[in-house]
Amino acid sequence: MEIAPNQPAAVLRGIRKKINWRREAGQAPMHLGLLFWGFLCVIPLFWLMITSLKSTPDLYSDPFGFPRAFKWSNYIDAWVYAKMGVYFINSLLITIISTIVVLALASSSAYVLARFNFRFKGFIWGYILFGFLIPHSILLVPLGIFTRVLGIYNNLFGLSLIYAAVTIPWNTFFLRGFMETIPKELEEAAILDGAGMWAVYRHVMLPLSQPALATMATFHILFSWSEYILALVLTGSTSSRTLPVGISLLEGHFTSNEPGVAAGMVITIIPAIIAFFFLQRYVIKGITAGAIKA
Amino acid sequence: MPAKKKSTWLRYGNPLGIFLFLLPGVGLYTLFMLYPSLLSLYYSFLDWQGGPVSQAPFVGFDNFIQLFSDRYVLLALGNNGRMLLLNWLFQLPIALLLAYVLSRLRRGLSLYRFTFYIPVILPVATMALLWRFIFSGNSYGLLNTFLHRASWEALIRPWLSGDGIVQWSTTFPSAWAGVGFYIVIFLAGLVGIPDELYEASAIDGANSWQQFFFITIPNMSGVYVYAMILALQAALGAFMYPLLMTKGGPLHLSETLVSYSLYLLWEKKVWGYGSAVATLSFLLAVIATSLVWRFGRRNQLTTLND
Repeated sequence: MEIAPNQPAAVLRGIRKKINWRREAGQAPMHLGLLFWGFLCVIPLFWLMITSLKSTPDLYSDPFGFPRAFKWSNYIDAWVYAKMGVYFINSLLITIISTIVVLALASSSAYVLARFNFRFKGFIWGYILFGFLIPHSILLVPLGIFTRVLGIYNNLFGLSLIYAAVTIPWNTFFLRGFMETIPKELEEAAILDGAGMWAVYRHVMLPLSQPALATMATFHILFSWSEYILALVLTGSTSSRTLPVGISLLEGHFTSNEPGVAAGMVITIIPAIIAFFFLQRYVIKGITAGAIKA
Repeated sequence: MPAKKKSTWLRYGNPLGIFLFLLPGVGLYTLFMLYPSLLSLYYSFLDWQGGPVSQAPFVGFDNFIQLFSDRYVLLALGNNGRMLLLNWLFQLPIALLLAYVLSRLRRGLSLYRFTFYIPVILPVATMALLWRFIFSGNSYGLLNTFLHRASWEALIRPWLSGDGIVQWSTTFPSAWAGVGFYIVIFLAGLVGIPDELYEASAIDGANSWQQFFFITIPNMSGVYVYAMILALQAALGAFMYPLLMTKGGPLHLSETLVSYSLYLLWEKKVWGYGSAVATLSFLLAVIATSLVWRFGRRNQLTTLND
């Protein structure tokens, strides 16, 4: 069964013709319901943006009102004094590094698992998939000790590696499944030309896996940007904290400056929404691929 | 071909090459995920309250026996149960209904879907803080201010401190935020239902509600069960909202199993017993995840190719 989740349902059914205004009007009640839910989804964010431009007395006297004067300095307070700027850069770096690492490692393992038969293959597959069962919360104490021993506690690169490690099972699983669907002809041609495993991986498998890699990267970006508990436990100073951890510490920075807190929150939200806007089709593909069988 | 020059030893598909390709991924996963999880399992058999782990005495199953007499574990499990209840009775039905309406829509699908998914992708740390603004008892508490202005004074509650209330105000936000995720899952299932079924029923005079109950629901049962199991998994592993909204309080009333283990580990610093609580959450996660695997559909990866 053909599923193309990023197409409007109407297109899938092939019933979109000329705009028939009477039929459109018939769907008005549906739109009303959907608009209501959409309203619930975005109105808190609008409230947050408005609040982030208020002064504290302004907020206290009327939490729903429009700001009497736009207090843009809240953003400076959050970005500079509450160190959200530092956390922002840290989150960005961790997101980029760990995404690259996990894609490289998961795709190379997935390639071998998708293409070759070797001893212990079943065991290694089960060994990797066991990671699906491990909740991050049980890793905290051992990793807290372990990272200090290895000297990567409170270290951006260390945290990036750990983010990559905890998502390797899922990414390997997904990429192997995808790579098994790639036809072998191109690979065979490359081998006849004398390509070895590296060349096949680098010049055949990776380019052909691009849609799956984009999906995996999208999920990993959203994960790294939002991850809280590992970052909280494995970082200890301003210089290496990430945005979600910084957010949870904001109130300590701002006593009775809730608009400043709101400004910090907006700083975490905007990049996530922008990234999601551009990457949404990969999110939808990824979820759909996980949810539906033919 | 650069590879030919670089590596004559890499004949296609040789054992050494396979090993080298597997090593980085499997190695990193072993180092930072598998090995720590086994260590944690081991810690849960120790009487370890700080200090070097080598000096912590091995106490066998004592920590696990203690679990059964710890009323906070029961409280915490109760909140996981509440979350499951909200997920199953609120989150999934709403998601299915919205997905159904979206699938019948002639225009606007992408915009709605984008909007509905926004709560799913936002950092939970930020969302939890936002919900604290909503439920706050201070003068900027949105919900109480709203109730006050609407003259519904009788409904004003101490949302973040009242027993019997805080348990719901810390579980509801995650159920609400997850709706968009299940909408996407259900939408994928819905477009798979053959159009002829709807057309035939329309000829027979069925209205949209009848189509929903007699065509959509029966055809969606497989996807729905899968979603229920994902929601079970989410409910068992939940901790972010209680942790960031109330720190599990007051008096551990809003704790979930995982947030309680975090409290034991990082506030009370009883690392042996805390690890045992974490292990319990791990065992529950194992059960839930094996259910996902039992029912999960994991093909259809070809759709990525379009």
